[in-house]
Amino acid sequence: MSLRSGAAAALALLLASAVPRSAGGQETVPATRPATASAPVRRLFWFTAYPDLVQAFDTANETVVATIRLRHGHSYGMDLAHDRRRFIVTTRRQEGFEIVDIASRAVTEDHDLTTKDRIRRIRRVIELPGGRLLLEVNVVKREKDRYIIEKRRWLLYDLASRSVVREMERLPAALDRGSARISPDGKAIHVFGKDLVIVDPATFEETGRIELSRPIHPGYGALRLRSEDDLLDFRDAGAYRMFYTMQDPVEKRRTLFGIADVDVAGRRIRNLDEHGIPLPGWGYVLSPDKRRLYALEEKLVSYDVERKRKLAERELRLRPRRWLAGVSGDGRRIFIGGAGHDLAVYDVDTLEWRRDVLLPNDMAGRMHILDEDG
Amino acid sequence: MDHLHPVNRKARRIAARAAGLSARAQSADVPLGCTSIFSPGWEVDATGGVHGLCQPIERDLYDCYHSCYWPGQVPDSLTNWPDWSESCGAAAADWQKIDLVFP
Repeated sequence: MSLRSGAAAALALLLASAVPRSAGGQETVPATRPATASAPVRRLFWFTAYPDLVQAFDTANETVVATIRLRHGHSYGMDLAHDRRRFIVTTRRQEGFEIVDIASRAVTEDHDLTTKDRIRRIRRVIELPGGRLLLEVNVVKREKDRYIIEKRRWLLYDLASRSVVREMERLPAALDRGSARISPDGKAIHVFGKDLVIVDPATFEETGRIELSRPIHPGYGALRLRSEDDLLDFRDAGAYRMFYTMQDPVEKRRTLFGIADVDVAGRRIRNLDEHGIPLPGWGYVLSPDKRRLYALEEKLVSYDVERKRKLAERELRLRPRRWLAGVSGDGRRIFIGGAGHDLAVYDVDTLEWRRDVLLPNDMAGRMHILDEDG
Repeated sequence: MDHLHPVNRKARRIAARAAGLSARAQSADVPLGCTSIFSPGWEVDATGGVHGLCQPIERDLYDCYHSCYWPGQVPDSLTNWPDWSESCGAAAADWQKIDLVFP
């Protein structure tokens, strides 16, 4: 779920019109205070790269510090495991996956789903507690003289026994309601959709629900949680602190965003901290201390999460297919990546371009940001 | 668009910036994504320009090959040429190493 919406973007333009501008067409508002001086963390950007690599980019010295060659060609998707120590990388022309161990910088396992009579290509991976995966696959039956496209299926795969323990025509209903992830305590599955549904991983039955779709006050809209980021780093077994969006209760055409405290044990929303109009952009990135938010659309915008105010914005002339990669471990530099083999570096306070960093290989897929402590 | 008039500072600034541009140039200011033309050498975006394409095209060559399956221009990675990108890690830097394929 993104903070972006058309109405929000339009209103963000109105918001933008209220700030002073410098001459020369670029808009900029100096930050009221420099980026926070909290202790820097060693932060790596992990991503897949062509032709068949997983690489780590160290934001401190701006170089690639790890290159892992996959066993079976280039990646068709890389998911970070719940333990944050492994990646699950789809390879073998989507017919299998490999496990990359982050600490040892090596591929430790590879699994092949295709059998003698059927090709099974992975479309989606959902990690479950207990070393199991749910894999959505396209199935092609191999006949002597032709291929037959069969219905898409879901496989329950056990990593230890390296086998499919169950095949399903559909994803279990409780899981088919949004974005599923393992709960912070590792015991349940949490599905973020219209509601936050808690699912038993053994039976796939719903065991609890936190209603996001029911307005907490008259006139409020439904909450939509951005489940990709938790300000508590998914380390609190009983709570989440996530950004949310909600239809403005007064001006129905616009969207609000804020921070929601979710009490998982109590099955309720404990608190909503409203911030106002969402920042325009295709997603956003957080500083390591989570006090600043950066968004990019046609402008790069910085936002103070604590004071609830925009700090600066700068119009950028970027080539197509560029997006925010992340913020450096010292919180001083923003990286913009995308198609190609270069990362552009911007200053977090002035939002000015500093330099381009050339990488040895073209990047592919999304960035996974991992700090040294995990 | 004559019936639209800027009413705030931001809108006036945009109007002033766009005043000297042709309609095509204005529309090309917004990247609209990949080409809709499948003739090699004649790739243009939806506005008739190249602004929506990756620049240079080598920057996006592998995504065309690997995930987009741009059928007129590049080999397909899933079935016939899974190893096509092996000779070159960064297409914009050393595209000369990329081999031709002959279907």
